[in-house]
Amino acid sequence: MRNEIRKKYLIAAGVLAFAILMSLFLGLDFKNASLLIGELRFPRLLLGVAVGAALSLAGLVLQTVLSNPLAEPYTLGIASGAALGAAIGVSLKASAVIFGMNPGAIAGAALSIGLLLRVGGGGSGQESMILLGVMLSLVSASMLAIWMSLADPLGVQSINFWLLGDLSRVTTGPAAFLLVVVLLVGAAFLMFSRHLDAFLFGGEMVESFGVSLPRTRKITILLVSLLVGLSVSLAGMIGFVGLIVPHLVRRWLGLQRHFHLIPFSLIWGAAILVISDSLARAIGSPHELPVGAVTSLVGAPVFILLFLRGRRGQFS
Amino acid sequence: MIRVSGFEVRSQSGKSLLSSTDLDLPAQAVLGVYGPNGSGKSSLLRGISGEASPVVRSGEIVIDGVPLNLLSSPADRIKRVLYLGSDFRSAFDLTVRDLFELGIESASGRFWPGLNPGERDRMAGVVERLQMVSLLPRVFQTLSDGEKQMVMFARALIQAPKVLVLDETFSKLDLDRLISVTRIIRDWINCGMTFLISSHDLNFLSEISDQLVFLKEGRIIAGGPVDSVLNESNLRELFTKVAPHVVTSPESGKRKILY
Repeated sequence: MRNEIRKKYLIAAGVLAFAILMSLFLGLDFKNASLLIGELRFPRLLLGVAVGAALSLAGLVLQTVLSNPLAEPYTLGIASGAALGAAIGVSLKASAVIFGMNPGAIAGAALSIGLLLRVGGGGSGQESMILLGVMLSLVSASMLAIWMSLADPLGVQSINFWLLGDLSRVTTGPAAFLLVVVLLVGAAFLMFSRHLDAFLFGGEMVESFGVSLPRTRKITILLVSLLVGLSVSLAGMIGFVGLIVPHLVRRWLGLQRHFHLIPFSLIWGAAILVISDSLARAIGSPHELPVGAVTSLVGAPVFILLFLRGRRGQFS
Repeated sequence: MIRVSGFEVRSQSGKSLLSSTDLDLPAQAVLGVYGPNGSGKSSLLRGISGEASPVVRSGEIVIDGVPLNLLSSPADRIKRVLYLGSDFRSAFDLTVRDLFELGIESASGRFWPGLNPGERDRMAGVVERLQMVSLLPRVFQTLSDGEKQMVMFARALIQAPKVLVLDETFSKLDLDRLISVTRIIRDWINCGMTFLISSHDLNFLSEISDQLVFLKEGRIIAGGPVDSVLNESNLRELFTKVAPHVVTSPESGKRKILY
């Protein structure tokens, strides 16, 4: 078993290495290679790695803590709440912007999760929670569009950034900062991996495994809000990475315990978003496709498949 | 071993779910809890186990000399008292082996997952004793309801709390399994465990319990040794529309009901 896991770590690392090379060198004009890589491609790669890992980890943890295999930041409206919070923060210039990241986004994400748990967390079914999330997402996206149209003269153009995601608007500093945060949050969740395992039988059973339900939920909300808020404020909303990656990892490993799911989700999330971004850049060259559109094109059918399997009681 | 004094449960709107209740149960015994639907059985059992629930509780519960309110951390609490309900589900493909390992790790209180050789031996011993070796690789969610209840019961035994509270945990078991449960519980009592069990099968409770309480509309109407509680007059007070007969089993000498 250990050898098998070790082999899978090597495979995942190999895929990530391939994704990195693809991001740096696919379609590269070698005459200006050092300038292009240093100024454009490396920060973009770093952000892709950080955001992909962050969204996958957030999706994994949300699915577990909400006992809902369809949960992820995008389908639950947490990402759109973060986008709305970030847009308001940027327009008001009221928030302390650290490394280009916006506390408004973290607050928006936290408010969305809080609302979701308050309204839909009291034992409602998986489907109704997702419906609630979709409604939350639509309301936040509409409010975002209204806010951007009224508060920002160039708002209408910026809406695309928030709704479909973009990894190209960042420098190395903020991307590296986000990556450090994601790794720290990943390490924190790894330390609490047994506490997450206790949620695998639903909220009612958590305390019988010696884990405090309210405390673990609060810590999770805080850390997931941090991951989603920071990711959205730097890269906009990128859908379905948080849905696909945890399912892929669970299926590939054939395991449900979080001690291994967490590191594999981080690696695969990073690799898949970086590959998606490289494809988004290469497919329509010289024009670029929004990376969120590429992930949604793959992710939406997977969501439908999982939804139908869930109705037959066959998740994962 | 367990002392409950003046314990009351109210809903958040103030409705009384369990009137002031007093109970004393010695160690290494079984207390059977019986009553109609909505009589307050789960309120009492959840309260004794300190399970989080959106109700208002008052009164005192002392387990093994320690007041329950001092055991605010679930990790400390489950070493003394563990509560199991009857309906078990998972949205994920966890195996029975994963569940048992998680049970042992929870009892150890360690941060990191994984069992040491002693814990592995203990788990193997219990699994063999309960004849569950063939279930280990099965995905929990694919088990029948009765198998799920047996597996959860086994996991609770593996966690080895001092007091195990089983709230209709055996409601889906067939007769074979129900009889094996009575033997298992007797074995574990000899190892020092105490049980509180609620069930709608009064004959099962009579077979297994040392003491019995009858609950109706949130209050105890009778409590004490099984023979003193299980009689037709108390049953008529519980159920006005039926008139069960109480007989003594020639094999076990225990009281049973016929209806």
